[in-house]
Amino acid sequence: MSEIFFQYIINGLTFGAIYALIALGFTVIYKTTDIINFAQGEFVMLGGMLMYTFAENCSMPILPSFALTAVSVCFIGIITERLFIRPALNASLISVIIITIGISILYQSAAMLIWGKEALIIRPFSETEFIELSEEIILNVQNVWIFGITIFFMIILHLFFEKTITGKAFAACSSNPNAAALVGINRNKMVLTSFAVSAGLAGIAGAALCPLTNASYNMGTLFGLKGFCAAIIGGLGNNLGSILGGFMLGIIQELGAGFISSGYKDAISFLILIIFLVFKPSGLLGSKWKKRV
Amino acid sequence: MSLYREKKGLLFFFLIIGLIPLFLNKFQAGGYYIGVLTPIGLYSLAAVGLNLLIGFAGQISLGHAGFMSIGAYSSVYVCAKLGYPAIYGIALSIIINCILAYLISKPILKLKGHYLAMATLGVGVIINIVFREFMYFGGGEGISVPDLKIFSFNFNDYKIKEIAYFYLAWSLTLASLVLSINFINSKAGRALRALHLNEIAAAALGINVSSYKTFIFVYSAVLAGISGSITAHYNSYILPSTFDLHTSIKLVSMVILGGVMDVKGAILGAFIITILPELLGKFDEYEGLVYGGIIIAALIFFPNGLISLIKKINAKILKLFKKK
Amino acid sequence: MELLSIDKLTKTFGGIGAVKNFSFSADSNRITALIGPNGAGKTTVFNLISRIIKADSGSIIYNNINLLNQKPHRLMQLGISRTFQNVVLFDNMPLIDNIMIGGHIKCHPGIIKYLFSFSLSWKEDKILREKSEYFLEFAGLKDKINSSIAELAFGQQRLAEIARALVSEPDFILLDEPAAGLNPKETEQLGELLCKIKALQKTILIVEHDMNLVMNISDKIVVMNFGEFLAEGKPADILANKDVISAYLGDDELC
Repeated sequence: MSEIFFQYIINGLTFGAIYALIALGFTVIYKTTDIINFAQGEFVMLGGMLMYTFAENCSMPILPSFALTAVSVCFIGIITERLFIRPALNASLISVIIITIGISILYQSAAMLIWGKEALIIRPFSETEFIELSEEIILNVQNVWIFGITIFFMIILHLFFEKTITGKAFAACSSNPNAAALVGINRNKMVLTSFAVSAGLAGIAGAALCPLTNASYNMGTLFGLKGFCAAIIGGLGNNLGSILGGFMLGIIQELGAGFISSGYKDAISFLILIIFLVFKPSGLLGSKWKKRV
Repeated sequence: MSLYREKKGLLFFFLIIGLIPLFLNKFQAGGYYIGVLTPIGLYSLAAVGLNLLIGFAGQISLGHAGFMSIGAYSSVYVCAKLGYPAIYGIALSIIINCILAYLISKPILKLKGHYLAMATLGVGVIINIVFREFMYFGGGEGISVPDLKIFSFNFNDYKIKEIAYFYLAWSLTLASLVLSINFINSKAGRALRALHLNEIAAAALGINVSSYKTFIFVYSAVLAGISGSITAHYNSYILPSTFDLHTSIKLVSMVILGGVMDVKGAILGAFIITILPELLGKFDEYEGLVYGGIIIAALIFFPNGLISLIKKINAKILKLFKKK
Repeated sequence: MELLSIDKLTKTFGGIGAVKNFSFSADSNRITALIGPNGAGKTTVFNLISRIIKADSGSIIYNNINLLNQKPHRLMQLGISRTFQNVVLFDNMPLIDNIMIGGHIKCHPGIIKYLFSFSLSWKEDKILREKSEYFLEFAGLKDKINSSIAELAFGQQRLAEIARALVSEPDFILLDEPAAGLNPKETEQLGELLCKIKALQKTILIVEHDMNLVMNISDKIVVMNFGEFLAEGKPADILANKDVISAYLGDDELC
């Protein structure tokens, strides 16, 4: 019994790490633009698809494939911002939501046309696929890779925000864009960078995940939504919150799927989200702020 | 009295719609075209209610397909499982949606913006998953739906099915439009517009914000439910995937694309988005590309929806007539 | 006779005492002014009265009803109406509609019937429209009736908000810094309007910084400082009150 429990926890941590990374992407964009990018999940999908192209189609080794994938998805993020987001920055909230949903639909269709409808199989990152931790417990090494990679990039992101000038400029931009502009921070550049960064994070998550779950053109939607759930649960706009929310969501989801029912897995995630939204919309770590009349 | 003119224009529009089947019947392919216009009518019914919610009350719902599916499955329960006439199925769908929408609205309509969008999305997805897993209604495989019979008039009789459903769908849509326009132009509509802009000021003016938001939410849910019920009978079969997240997003796109500030925009949006796969014909694998592209382009270049474009063209045509 | 009586009202925002044990009263058919240096807590008191924010403790008695138990939208029904510091007119409708909204509660509530009303709300609307036009004229905005909000000068927007506050024929009107941003001539117009309102047997509670206006029209002045009660009395007395002077100007001699 405890072996199964352990397996669920491993899965929970793995998916939790992925959700955390996606949630961080949401938070980064939200901090600079007040926009929620509903197409975030598609960057995860593109990460997986491109990883397939480089590693399997072109038969490149894992490390260069991974690096190339990350850079490519960053680039796609930049194009997305330039082409679709920049003209829409001042549109109404509901318009922006629909536009990003439109982008998501667009990218999904394009992926379907380019890579087809079948799931793509990517080889695992290391030769040893499994490690026997004990008689009953077998650990899939890819889980370790996913966990390690995501933690690594979370640390890098943290250093970026805390130690670099650009990182601090991000925070300034979100709390007061006008004042930030007066101090010489180029808002457009910040927005562009935030899209590049969050796309990159999502792409990395996808590239690391897909050897485990296989890549398909329509995997992005659900990941994006759950990543957003994680961001809200942790507290929208709070980096640490996104990470915490991600892990919490992943673990509860896997435990629920395992012990209750796997068909209801997604329903469980959304139920957690709704519970938070109704009782504590500011999330675990978010702060409440009210509008003045 | 522009309200009077608006209603006159509406009557004229529906007169034309009413004549279309009689006109199309002359052609062989006529049945096909009627068959395309009926789903547009059914979507319009749901979209009109959603338009009131989004455009006038200023709320977002990314989960309205959930109410459609509750309508559909209510009809299935009453007709297929219990064997009662279809009209009771529709009645049940209205009752359940009233209650459900009311209960959901109380905690959820306190949320705003993205939080509200995600909450409604969550509700819609949960409803969808429940019907998918719940085997009583056939689960993911779906379930067949009995014919729609009202006073021994069988809508599904193959000889008259297309025309019968066409008139049913569009009469319901016309009715919902009239009710909605009445509401918008009344004192209540003013209150709605006020609370859309500033809820605190509206409350200070004596408007019970929570009541209004709940009312419009329930109204739009009921319309969506009726649309779902009729759709179930029309297709004679429903699956959970008929009313999933994709459908909810389609509904919202129809409202926004058509023009959120004008209820008639909902019909325009329904028309464009439903007609899309038909126009693509053989190239339907490109549907997503075109659909996504249209939504993005339309919202960037026509933030007030395409109905504003139609109005401009209308105005220019009228000007030309006046010059003569 | 006291129409509004506030007793030991307290509100803290995260450790900062915005309003501390504050008590005062407003007499009916009089103009009472609430003044004090910036940050004294005046607008907070207003927001507490209009139930936009919840008080921590104390009571606000209006006509024998404790307002702290009422929901915000109920105040209008009780006969209390207010304006806001940042003018809140709804720019998604023309001016006349804005004023008509002020009379929202006078037409009987009952949302559902508006779905089916074809002529019902027309009749009510006609009466409401006439009343709104009357009060726009009363406020001096006769020729602006069909304008959009964007076409109004700031001073006119302020007057419009006051007209809106009058349509529901309230007994008690809260005015939140109505003179802010107005030039001397506009302020004079405002003062005349306020006296006209008082002549209609209404009670006014006004928060204001413009001392001229306050001195000219108030029957009673209540002074707040640091969230606490400082002084109250007739204008002439307040002007001479040493505590009030030092609160505004400080104790140290200037140069």
